[in-house]
Amino acid sequence: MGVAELADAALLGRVDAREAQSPWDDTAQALHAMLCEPERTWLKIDIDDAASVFVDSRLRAFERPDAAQPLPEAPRTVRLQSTIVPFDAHPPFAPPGESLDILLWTVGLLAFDGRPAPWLGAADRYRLRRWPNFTLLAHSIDQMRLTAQIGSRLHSVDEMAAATGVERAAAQALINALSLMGILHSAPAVAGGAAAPVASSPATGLFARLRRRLGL
Amino acid sequence: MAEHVILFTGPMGAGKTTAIQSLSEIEVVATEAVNSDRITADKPTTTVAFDYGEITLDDDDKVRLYGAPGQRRFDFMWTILRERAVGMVLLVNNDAADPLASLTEFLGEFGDLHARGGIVVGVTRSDLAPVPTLDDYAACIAAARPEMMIPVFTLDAREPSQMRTALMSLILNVESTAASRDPAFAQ
Repeated sequence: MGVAELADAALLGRVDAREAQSPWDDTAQALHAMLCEPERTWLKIDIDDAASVFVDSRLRAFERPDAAQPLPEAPRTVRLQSTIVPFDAHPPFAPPGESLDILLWTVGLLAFDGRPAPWLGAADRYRLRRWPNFTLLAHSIDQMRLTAQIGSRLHSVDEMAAATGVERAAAQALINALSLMGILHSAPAVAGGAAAPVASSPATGLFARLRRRLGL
Repeated sequence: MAEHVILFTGPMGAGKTTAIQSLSEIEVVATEAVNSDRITADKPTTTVAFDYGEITLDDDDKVRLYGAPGQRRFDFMWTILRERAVGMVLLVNNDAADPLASLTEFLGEFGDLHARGGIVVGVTRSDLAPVPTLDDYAACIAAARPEMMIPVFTLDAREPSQMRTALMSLILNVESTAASRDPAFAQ
C-alpha cells in the first residue's frame, strides 16, 4: 500500500475549528490512539493551506514537505485519515523521515488550550521517564525550567507553575506534549496535597547569570 | 570568587575538544599529542592532559570548561578534574563499537558527580549511526544507576546552540538537585 491508497483509508473525521476547541485537539487524540495500538498504523493529516503530514507509527517518523514552515497555530480545518497496514508494508515516505517526537511535541503544545489532555487526570502528578531531546525540539528556556522540575520527583501542574513562576497554561501544555511523546510517569494526586516546592533557579543562581550572559 | 567548573568527559573521538571550542569565548587551550590509537578514533591527534575554555560571567566570574582525556591511561587527570567539577557533560559517539558500554563505564567513573551536581549525556554522530536510540540510553542509565535521572540529547558538538542547550540543562539540573535537598521538597 502506498500514499495514494492512503486516501481510501478510514476517515477519522474532518475537524472544524468552529465545532471543536481546536483542530489540534483531535489530531493529538488521533496520534495518542495510534501510538497506543500494537498494529502498524499510518496517519495522514491534511491541514488547510499547508502540505499534508504523513505519519508511520512503526518507524516513529513522519514526513512534512513544508517542514521549514511552522504548523499553523489555529487552522480552520484538519482532516485525519488513519489505516492499519501490514507490519512489513513499504513506508509512505522515504525513510528515515523526521523523528515523530518533533510532531508530537508541536501538536501537544498547540492542543487543548491549557486544559489537560483527555487521557490525563486533572490532578495527576508527573515525573519524567527520560528528558525530551531538546536539541531536536524548538523550545523555550521556560519549558526547560518546567521540565527540570519533574526530572527526579513527582509534581502536579500547579506545583510546576508555582516553582517556576511560569503560567499554569504553559505548564499544562508542556505536560500534554511530554505525555503525548510517551516520556512521562504519572501518579494520582496525594491526599492532603504535597509540600509546596520552592523556586529551583533563583535570579542570582548560575543558570540565571549564564542565561543573561548568553542572551537566552 | 566562586568557581564553576564544568567537566567534559567521554571516550576518545566523542567530540569533547570540539564541544568546548563551540562554547568557549577564548581560544581553547588544548594539550594534544599524536594519536597512537587510530582504531578507536581515526583522528591525527588526541587530548593527553586536558582542554580548557571559559565563559565570562559578570564581575569577572567565569564558567571554566575542562575536557578530560578519553583514554583510560590518562585517568589520573580524571581524578584531578572530577574533584573540582560541579557538573559534567558526558559525550558518547553513537558510531563507536559499543557506545552503551562506554556510557556505563564513564557513569561508573564519574557517577558521584550526579550526587553533588549533575550530569548530561550528549550522543554525538547519531546521524551516522541511528542506534542505539535515546530510549536505549535512558534504559541503560536506569539499569546501571536507577537513582539517576540524566538528560540525554543528540548533539552536534560543532553547533554552539546545541552545546548551549546541553550546558543550560546541566546547570538547571545542578540547581534543581540542590533545591530538592531542601526539606520543603520532602515527599
